[in-house]
Amino acid sequence: MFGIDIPLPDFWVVYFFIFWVLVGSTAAPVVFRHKGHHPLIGIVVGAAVGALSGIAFTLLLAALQPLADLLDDPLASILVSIVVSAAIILALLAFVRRFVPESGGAGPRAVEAAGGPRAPVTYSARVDKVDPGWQSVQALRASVVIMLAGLTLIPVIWMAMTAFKSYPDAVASPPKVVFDPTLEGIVTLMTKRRNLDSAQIAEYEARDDLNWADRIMLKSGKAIIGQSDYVKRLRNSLIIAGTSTVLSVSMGLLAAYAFSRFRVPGEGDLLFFILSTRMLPPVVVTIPIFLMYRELGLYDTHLGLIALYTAFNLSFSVWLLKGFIDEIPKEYEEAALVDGYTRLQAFRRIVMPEAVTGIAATTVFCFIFAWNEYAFALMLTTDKARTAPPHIPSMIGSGVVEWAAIAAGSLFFLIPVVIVTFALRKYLLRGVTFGAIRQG
Amino acid sequence: MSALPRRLFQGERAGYLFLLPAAVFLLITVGYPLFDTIRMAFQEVTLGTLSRGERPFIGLANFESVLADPAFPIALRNSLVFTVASVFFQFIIGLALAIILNEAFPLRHIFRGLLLSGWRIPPIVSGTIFLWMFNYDFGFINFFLEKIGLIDEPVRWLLNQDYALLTVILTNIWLGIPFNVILLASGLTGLPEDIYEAATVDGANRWQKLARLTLPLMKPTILATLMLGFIYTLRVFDVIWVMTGGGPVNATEVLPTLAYRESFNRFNFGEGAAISVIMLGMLLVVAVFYVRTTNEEGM
Repeated sequence: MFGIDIPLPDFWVVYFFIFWVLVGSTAAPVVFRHKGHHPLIGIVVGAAVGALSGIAFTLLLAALQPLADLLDDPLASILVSIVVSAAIILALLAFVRRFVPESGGAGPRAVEAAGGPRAPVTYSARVDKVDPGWQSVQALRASVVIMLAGLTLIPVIWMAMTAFKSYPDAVASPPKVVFDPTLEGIVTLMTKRRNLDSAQIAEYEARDDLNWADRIMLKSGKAIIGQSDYVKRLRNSLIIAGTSTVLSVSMGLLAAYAFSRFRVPGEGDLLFFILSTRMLPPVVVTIPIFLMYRELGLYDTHLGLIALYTAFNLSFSVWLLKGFIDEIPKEYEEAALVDGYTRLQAFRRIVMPEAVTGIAATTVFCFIFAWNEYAFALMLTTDKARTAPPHIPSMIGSGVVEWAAIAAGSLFFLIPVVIVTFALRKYLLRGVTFGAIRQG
Repeated sequence: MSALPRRLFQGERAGYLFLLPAAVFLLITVGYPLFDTIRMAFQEVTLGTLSRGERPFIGLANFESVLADPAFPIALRNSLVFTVASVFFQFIIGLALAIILNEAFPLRHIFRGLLLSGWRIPPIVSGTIFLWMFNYDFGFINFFLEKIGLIDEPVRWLLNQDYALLTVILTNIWLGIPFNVILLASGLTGLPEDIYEAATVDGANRWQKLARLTLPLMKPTILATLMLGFIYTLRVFDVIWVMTGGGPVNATEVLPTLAYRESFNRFNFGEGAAISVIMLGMLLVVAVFYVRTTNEEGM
């Protein structure tokens, strides 16, 4: 599309460039705010300072290259460059701190200097946390943590990039960081194709009834002849995950209500049994279920997987929802019962509306579990009810491995999960620990 | 509403009615299969016996042939190495990250949210990504390690029997870090702040506070994290199955993959069930150990 094509540049240059810019743009605003300027100016100045240090790092690394070749040890020159550029950025920041003028405006210092009252400290109550030195150190630490975290995110970023690579780009060595983005991988994932010879390609190019997907595949000499199995698998995933989620949340809600509001004999044991079902290795229960399903004709059916996912999610939803219902004051329903509501009415009109956040969170987590599940789907389905997860590795199986298509499939699969988890991170903990850890 | 349901939904007995659907459902879909697995471990169940419609009782013969299988000790050893190494490193890295995240710094909340959202990345997706990153020919990891000068020539991560287990362990460590951070960070936020202030006044430094205050106070959380980590890691099937399928040869065979192979490739369901029962026994030991420890502590 743009004809850009740059292989992975020197890792250290990219990494430290970003790192110094990050350090500059987090540390400098502290100084600027303290002196009564707008922090935005600080961000700009800090980014410039960081970029300068990054350039210094790059130049140093290049200058030291002969030395590295001589010593046959690339690490030494990298270390020297890191230390020197760190000194440069610290010096620049100190310079900024020393020579940026106090703002003439209504900053806290200005008012004080004019003999006015000491400005109230609004952004932190702790005196030691207002000190700009302390705040700069915090900003520096944040940058270090973020850069370390960036390292751990590389696999995901790499996958997202691969999803938009063409086949030759995807398997290029050295790997490409900047490349011509294409939707080839996504189209490959969703379609079945056949190869065309040159005469057919010319014939196809002359046609004007081609859509964008056809044109993308035509570039690599292929014609689309239909939908791939992945589309069917995604549909199965949606049906199975959706239905089992509704079932497990509704049954879980009733059970959670019972555990929360009634004295159930042996409550602890029952709850522990429910919890333990979630911890069973899938393969332990799959063998009998496989045999049972064969007898009942449930093998490779939607119903079979729905029942199984519902069961495994039930434990989760009971534990999660019990926590939410415990938080609703019992007095609400007692008042309703006195007013002549039946238990069921009180449950429906009082508890359910109050627990709606919890129900939503539980729903989403149950859905993710069913959406992600691999082992059961692999063992209990072949084609008709097969979901998307077993499909992705099956593409690795034989012949030319379409890595871009695999990455695209994984990415599609991942995006809803990440968005939803990020949005609901507050409730994450309750689900995983099953009360093993009390939240502070 | 008629009179009968109205009476059923009043008083303490109503609790059972609310519980009924979930209880019945769980008994059918989990309780019965669990019971059946244990029963099957003592029966001869193969495609042959199934087609005759019988499951003769054969005592401990399944366990004997599982133990005689040369792949079993390898799978057991791999399972233990995989689980212990994964849990250990996930825990150490998770604890360090949790402590960092517990301190105030800018952008902390966004960062924490990002880290947590990693928890639900489907194992199948991570397995596939890493399978590809560890690829011998064009994998990112070989390229990167060569670039920074740690290796001289590409490593056959997944094709070499010596490295395959290490590779799946590395992948699994990466996968499990968010889980450990979530648990440990929540334990940290629950610690009382005044004790730390008192320690600061008494002149304790950062490391003393970590060793003498944080770790002892966190003991219940740490125990729970390790136990849950063990339980969740011992049963890992998807990552290994996607990346190596238990190979090369038996280098990454673990108990779940062995049970799967025995049942669904060789159709020897009895032996598969026997392996499952052995796994259940291991989980039970960990659970009992955990309950004992927490009870002794009076928690």
